Amino acid sequence: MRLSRVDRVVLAGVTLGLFSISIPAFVTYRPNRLAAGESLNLWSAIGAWAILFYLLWLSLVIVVPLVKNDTARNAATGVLANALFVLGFLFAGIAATDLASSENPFARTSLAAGFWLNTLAAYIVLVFARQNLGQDRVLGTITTYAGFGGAALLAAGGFVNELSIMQELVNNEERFIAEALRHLTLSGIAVTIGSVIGVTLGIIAFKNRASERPAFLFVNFVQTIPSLALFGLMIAPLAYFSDTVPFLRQLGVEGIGTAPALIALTLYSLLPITRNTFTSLSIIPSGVIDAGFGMGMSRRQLLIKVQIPLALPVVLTGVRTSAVQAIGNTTVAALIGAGGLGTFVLQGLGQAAPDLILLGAISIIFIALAADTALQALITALTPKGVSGAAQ
Amino acid sequence: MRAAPAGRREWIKAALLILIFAALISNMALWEALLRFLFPGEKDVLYPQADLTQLVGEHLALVLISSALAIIVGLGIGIFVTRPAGKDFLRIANDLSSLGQTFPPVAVLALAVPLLGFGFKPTVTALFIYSVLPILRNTIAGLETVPQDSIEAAYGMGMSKSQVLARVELPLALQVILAGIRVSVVVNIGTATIGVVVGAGGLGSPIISGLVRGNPAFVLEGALAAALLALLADFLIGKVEHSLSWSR
Amino acid sequence: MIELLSVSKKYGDAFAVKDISMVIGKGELCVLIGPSGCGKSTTLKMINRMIEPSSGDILIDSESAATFRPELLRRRIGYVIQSVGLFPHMTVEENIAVVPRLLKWERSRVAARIAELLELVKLDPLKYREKYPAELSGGEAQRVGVARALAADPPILLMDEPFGAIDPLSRERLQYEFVKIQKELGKTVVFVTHDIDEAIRIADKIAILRAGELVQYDTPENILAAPANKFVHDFVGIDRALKRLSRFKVGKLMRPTTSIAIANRLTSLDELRKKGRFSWVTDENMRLQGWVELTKIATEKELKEALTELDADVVSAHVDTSLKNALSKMLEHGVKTLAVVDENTRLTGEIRMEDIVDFTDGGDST
Repeated sequence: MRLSRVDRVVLAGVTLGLFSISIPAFVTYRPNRLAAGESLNLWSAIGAWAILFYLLWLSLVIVVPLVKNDTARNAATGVLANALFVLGFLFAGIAATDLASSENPFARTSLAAGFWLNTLAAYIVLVFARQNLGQDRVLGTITTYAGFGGAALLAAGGFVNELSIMQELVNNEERFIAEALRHLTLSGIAVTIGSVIGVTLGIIAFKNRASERPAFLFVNFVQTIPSLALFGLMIAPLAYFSDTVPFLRQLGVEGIGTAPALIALTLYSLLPITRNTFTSLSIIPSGVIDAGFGMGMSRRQLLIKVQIPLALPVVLTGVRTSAVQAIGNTTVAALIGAGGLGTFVLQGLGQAAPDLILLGAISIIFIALAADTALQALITALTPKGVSGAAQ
Repeated sequence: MRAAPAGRREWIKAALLILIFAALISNMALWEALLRFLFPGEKDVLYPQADLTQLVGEHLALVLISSALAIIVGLGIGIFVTRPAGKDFLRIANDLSSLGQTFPPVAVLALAVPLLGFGFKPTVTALFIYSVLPILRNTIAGLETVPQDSIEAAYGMGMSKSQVLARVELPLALQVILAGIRVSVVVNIGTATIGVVVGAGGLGSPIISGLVRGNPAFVLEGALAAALLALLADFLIGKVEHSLSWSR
Repeated sequence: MIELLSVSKKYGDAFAVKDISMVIGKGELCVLIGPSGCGKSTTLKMINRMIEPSSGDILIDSESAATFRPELLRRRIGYVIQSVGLFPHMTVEENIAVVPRLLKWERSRVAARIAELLELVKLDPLKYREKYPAELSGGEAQRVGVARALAADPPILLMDEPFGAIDPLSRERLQYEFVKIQKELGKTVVFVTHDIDEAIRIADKIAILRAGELVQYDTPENILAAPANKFVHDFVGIDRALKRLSRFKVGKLMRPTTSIAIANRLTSLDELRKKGRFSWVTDENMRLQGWVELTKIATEKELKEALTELDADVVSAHVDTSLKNALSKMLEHGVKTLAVVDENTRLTGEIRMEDIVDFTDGGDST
């Protein structure tokens, strides 16, 4: 890459970054929950330390392009991007610590637009560096996760405790963990049951052509219904059944709560899994099956050695889609009393406590991303060598 | 571009469905009768604050504005990053939109509040941002699958850049783009249902009200109407999608 | 008329095309040929500015191509590529109508033109108008491609390996028909191929390129008779003498001949014996029946017995059979002379192997 050519994506990221540390509020300080917030941009928040940020951003376009070696240059870009994110987090925490005082325990310092834009800008540059490091697995992985690692360390080390969002976490720690577990359990069970049903449906639809249309009509139908509406539609019949069949009530099945949520979530997870199971079977060339039988394989051997390995990545991709969806939909389940991290979102909305909303929303997003990444890694690990990427 | 052979008949069917839906929505007496039948124990079965026509209207306003904007922006960005001028941004656009789609729509909606406050405008903004993603993704995917030799032939025949885009690339990418629009709109209808918790009204209002009051009739009223609306939208856009099929 | 004046194309420091100058006359079919990477496609694409030259100029009818807006230039030049590039979302009709519509022709004119063109490329308009590209075979698609290129009646056609993806049998037919159309319409054609046989079959002039440079530019006959250097010599193939023969017809070398009618009275047999050892034998309508060795017959009766019959449709040549095919037949049937017959198998002359050999041996190089 030539000296003079700065990549336009990095340029865009740097522009956004510079903007985010100059103009919008980096943090917002509120003496109490009801008072209007005082916006502090980076300078006001941390004073001369802001120069560090300017230096780092500018070095991305001035210093880094000087590095000739491609891998080194991209690694450096990745490091800088991660640093900018982590430092943003750290200094927001420091600003919060500075602003906090024992006289006013109700005061809150929240992360504001400037911080988020800084994070977004760092992410853009990070993704760019990551893509260019494509071949190098080790460097690439480090680049991707270093930022998270750094932020986690900061949180654990107590450096950002005075930030409003961390305070909300600390205040609700037990409940947070309980609801998080509940969230995971709910989505997890839904996707598991959904996988069993979905795979079965997919196989039936594949083997029995007549059932293909009705099967897909059904799962498509369910998928189209808005989640809240589906939850709502579950309530009435379940309330009815729970009233008329006392046994169910003893089990804990009620009109609202876990039961309708679980049923609805399971139904939602059907489409991606059914469709992918169906597709995974369709794409195995019939020649492969013929060859297998021709070589003397039994049905069982064919299934285990050929069909399942070939179909698995595609089916798992469907499971991955369903899982991410389910984690998101479980948020809405809080509205019908099923718990989960959505309760924080709801509570925050009700109490006009934006950091509570943030706590809930970010945790959910984080869990969704984690599940997505973990499942993608599983899929990659289980994809037989020599087979190109699984169907989307 | 030709419509499928039975084109006219299909459109009449579609128009009929829309009319039926409109008729159903405005006929509150029908709903009252149905809900009374299902829930004989409830005193009130119809959501009192507004009738369905108004609720559907609010809902549609949320969806149509945010989706219209999303289509314009999504198409625009998608076209830009597939041109030579914007090629540098293609990967990041793809990446960001894939990432964004991992975010639960509810979370995006909720995040609008700390940033923009409560009410109609913040909700529309959040819905818009979220709706752009599938459209952007599919615009890119659709434009990338246009056969290269068709494009070369088009330039070779003397079409200008805008003519190639308008007469060759977009028509060939249209089916995929429409699929993205369909997903976007249907999800949008779903997310807008929750818009009530951020102060935006819509068909979620009776549902939430019913949940809070423990009145399943309200819940069903809202849920059924929302479900019908979503199914109708999915069906209609799907029809448009299929009418564009020119390959056997 | 197309003139290339010292045209070059550089990518970075490497020349894809280096300093090519040539003139393509009006109505000529010029073939650009060479090994992979020789710059033939690049050169072609510089004519309609799909690729811009790095230096040099291209004149079309004495006006520099650079002075026009690219789109407008291309609407007056037909462009056919190997994969055809028919628009999948348009019918055959709509595909062909693209350029005329860009030029804002009225509907009726466009419709008439489409019918005319489809007939020209031997596709029944009624059957093919409304078809979609996905429904066409390779050969049919390529015909539509040619029709589309000719739609606005451009004086120049640029073709980049147009028949490369067609099966060999259909390809020969397409080549033959295409040349006919080209001559009929008087189009100037620049044609890129890597197939030397194709080039020899259709070209008026061949330009041989190598590593971006023009190595030889001449008629096929001249190139085959006198390759400019070892590269061309190897490129045209070790059988260049035979290849050259394919450019000439039997009519050029045939000799008049006589025959004995099978029912003739053999009064003048002695006369005949003076002429030579063998004679053709025909029936009363001059239709070839076979040949006879004159020394072996004395009477009419013996004529019929001594007659070596020939299948006049198989062991013969026509006036426009290529010398190469005539020679091939001679070798196949083990004869040194072939009868030349018309379409009714009536004897019109003969062609001798020795004449062909003499001709090949650096004889007439027209």
